[in-house]
Amino acid sequence: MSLSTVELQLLRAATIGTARAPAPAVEEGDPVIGLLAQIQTGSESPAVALLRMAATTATLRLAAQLPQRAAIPDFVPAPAESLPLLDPGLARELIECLNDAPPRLQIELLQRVTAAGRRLPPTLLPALLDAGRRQSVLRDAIRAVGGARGRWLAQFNDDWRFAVGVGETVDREARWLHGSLEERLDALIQWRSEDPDAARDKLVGVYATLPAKERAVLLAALAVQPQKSDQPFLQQTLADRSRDVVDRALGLLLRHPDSDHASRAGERLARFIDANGSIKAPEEADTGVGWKADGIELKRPKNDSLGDRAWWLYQLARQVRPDWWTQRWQCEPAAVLKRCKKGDWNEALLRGLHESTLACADQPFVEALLAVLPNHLHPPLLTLLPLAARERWWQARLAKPKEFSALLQEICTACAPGESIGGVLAKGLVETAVVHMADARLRYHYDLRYQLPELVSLLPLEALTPIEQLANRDDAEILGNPWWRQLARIIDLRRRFAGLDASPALLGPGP
Amino acid sequence: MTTTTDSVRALSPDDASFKAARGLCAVRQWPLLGRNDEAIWGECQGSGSKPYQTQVDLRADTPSFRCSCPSRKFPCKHGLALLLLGVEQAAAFQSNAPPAWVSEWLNARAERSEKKAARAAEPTSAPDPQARIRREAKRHQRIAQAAVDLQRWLTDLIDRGLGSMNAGQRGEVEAMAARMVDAQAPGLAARLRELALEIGSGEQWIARALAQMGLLQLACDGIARREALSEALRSEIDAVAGWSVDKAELLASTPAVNDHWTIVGQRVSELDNKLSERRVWMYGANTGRFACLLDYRFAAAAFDRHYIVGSGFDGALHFHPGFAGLRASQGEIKAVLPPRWPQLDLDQLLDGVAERVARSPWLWWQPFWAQGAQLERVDSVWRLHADGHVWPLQISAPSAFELLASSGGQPIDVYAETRGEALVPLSAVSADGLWQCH
Repeated sequence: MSLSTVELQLLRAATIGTARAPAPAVEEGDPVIGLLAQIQTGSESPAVALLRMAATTATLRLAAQLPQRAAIPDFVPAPAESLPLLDPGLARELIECLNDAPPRLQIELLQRVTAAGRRLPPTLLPALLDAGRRQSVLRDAIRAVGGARGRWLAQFNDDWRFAVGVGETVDREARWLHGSLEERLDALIQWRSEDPDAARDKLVGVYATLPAKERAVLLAALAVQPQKSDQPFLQQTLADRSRDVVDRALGLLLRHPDSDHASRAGERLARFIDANGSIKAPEEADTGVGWKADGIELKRPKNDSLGDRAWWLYQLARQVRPDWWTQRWQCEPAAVLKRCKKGDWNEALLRGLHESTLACADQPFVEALLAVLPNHLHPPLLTLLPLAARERWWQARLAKPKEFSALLQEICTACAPGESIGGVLAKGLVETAVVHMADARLRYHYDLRYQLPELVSLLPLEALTPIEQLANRDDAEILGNPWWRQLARIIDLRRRFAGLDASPALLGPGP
Repeated sequence: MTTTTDSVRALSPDDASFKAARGLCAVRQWPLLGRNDEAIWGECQGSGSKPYQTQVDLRADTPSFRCSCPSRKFPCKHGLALLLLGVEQAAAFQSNAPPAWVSEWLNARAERSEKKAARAAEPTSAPDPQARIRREAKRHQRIAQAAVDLQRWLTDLIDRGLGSMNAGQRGEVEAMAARMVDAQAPGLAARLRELALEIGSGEQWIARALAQMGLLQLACDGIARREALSEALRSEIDAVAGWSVDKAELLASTPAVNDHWTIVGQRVSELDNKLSERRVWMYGANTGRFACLLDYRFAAAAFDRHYIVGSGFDGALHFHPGFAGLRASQGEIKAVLPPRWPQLDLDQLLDGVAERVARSPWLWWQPFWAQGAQLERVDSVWRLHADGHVWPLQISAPSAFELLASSGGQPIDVYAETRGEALVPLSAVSADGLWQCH
């Protein structure tokens, strides 16, 4: 009788109950089985015997337990590290920052670490990658800081797929074939810079096999060095099932003023927009091949504010470049918008012009639209202007103190992470901000209290001295206030990480 | 104790306290900062008009804190921040005579410490040795009667059959645990609470519960035959029942085991009723011995002494009486030393496990050391490979990924504790340094 057999018998008896079916007698055997037999016969009841035997077998198992044999799995370790470690205290502060600081600050600190040629202590990499899982806007910066060990680690967790790639050191073909979506776009853009036709052909070769999201993302590469030879492929893409793909393809085609599409779109719209300024909308949709082939959506979405005819007019309007209007009406952009704003079709026309302006980055129309569109539509337009033009626009708005909060919102939205503003505008913003910050009523201005940390993350460090002095006042109200401490902490972190290049590297193993 | 940022972090009751302390590490928030050889002190401006008065006594191995803030956490964020400032911005402190609120506290502490030392130096005669003997005898009687009741209850369950039990009957087990507490047998009560959690839990619960019940029966047998046992086994049975050992008596009555001790791991487990248990594992490089120091705390209070994993010292441990020879208390520390990690192969390790189990099958946790180990993840299960064998790991996903990141896929040395099959990793040494489980 083996030990396993005895254990099974004990288990059975314990499950059923010894009052109904006591464990069968253990037959004498080896010393271990003999001991169990002895315990069984020497116990005062079947239940006590079972318990004592269970204790004995459990103890034997514990003492004699051998782990399972297994060969070490094939494992490709992480590549060796060559970069020095970031100071562990700074590294921990960076990780804490990734939980609750403005994204702009997070990106700046991450970029400073990369620029200083440092790496994080490996035990902090999971927290770094988790931050990338939560916030996609940080992913580029996180991939850079995570480095080779981060990429290696990311393969073990589906949530960190964004960081899995083959790295900048691997050749472009490998990145195109095996990299993440971002790496493949990057490879395609690089090819596009060198040989636009070959790059396009690479995309065309795989296009039909790609899911919609990847089709939409990779199309962006064709914005680099637009070629006349791109037009047939882009035209074909207008018939895509995905609305997102169609919108992107249309945006790219609009950059080709000499295309067949441009001629057709112009002729089509000219039937409804008269040279003398009269505007009418289509009575019905053209259900022939023409509209569909050019990506015109016949069916208005249910929740859209436009009516059917306005919807069709908007669709036609967004198919032409903004300069079509100045040529049609022989007037400047501001006058075009003035005419479009009159009458029943203003919403459709402005919407169409807005989209085509964004696609073509037509600067005169950007400036004209900024003057007529509501504030919440400004940021994407502003990003099309050179920084100097944006700053002029904002400088003018700075003169309106009641709009300060809206202005901050616009600046923070329009300035990409890593972008800063300088000079006169920064000084003006800080002066106005300090006035608000010194006002006791600030505690009730929730928008401003939310935006000011973002502003402090955006402005150049040299402009922040007045705010820093205010936040560091030895004033009981300020010292005990977490909001002021947050501002002081942001400035302090930015200064310490800006000083990374000058600080000695921590070499060797970290904590 | 040399204070570092890491040691301050180790003193924090939780991560939130350390983070809050970081937010107070600006010198301008401290209108007063001072230090001398014995203490550091400061006044921290809060939201009220009067700043908080915070002070830290540095004379002992472990700092002692006091703060006038109303926080229930200990040490509070002000105490931690003061220590951090002392480490990172020492120049901000003035070296001068402490104010009265500091010197009075330090003097009172010194007085109490002297009185305690004087009491310890007095001949250890109990106020009334006979009364103590009577008390202990009474407690043994209660425990013996409780063990009889427990055995009756266990056999009743076996007679009825465990197959008819389900999770809804855990209350019956917990009621018996409460009976053990009433009988001053908290050790038996803890085992019954563990048993309660097994009832109806998972596929093999009957096999696991039966093993635990068997060990409880064995404990009852030991309690019944206590007088006939050897002194060592009697001490072991007493420990299983839940008798605690007076530390001062232990240090006075047991030999000091001097060695180069390294703190190889520690783990805090939340027990019920806000009680936490901390296991600090140590390894003696010369004796080759493992030791487990057990401490308890209630709610957010701090443990008496703090240990930093990966540190070492030349000093003594005093092992508790009993057969297992694992549990110990801290004795004298002579000097801080660099760590010396175990050098054990698998056979030596498993022999050690077997020997300890043979001495005491009731051991909760055993030490485990794997050299040159590699992590593996299969679906969502983590495993550790070493020496041609593999063990399942009991580890949270965040800790597992930290360990994996630290290893970089290279072999690492891992210290873990185990209760049989699975390992609970507590620390690991890799080319990139030390990882420890938080």
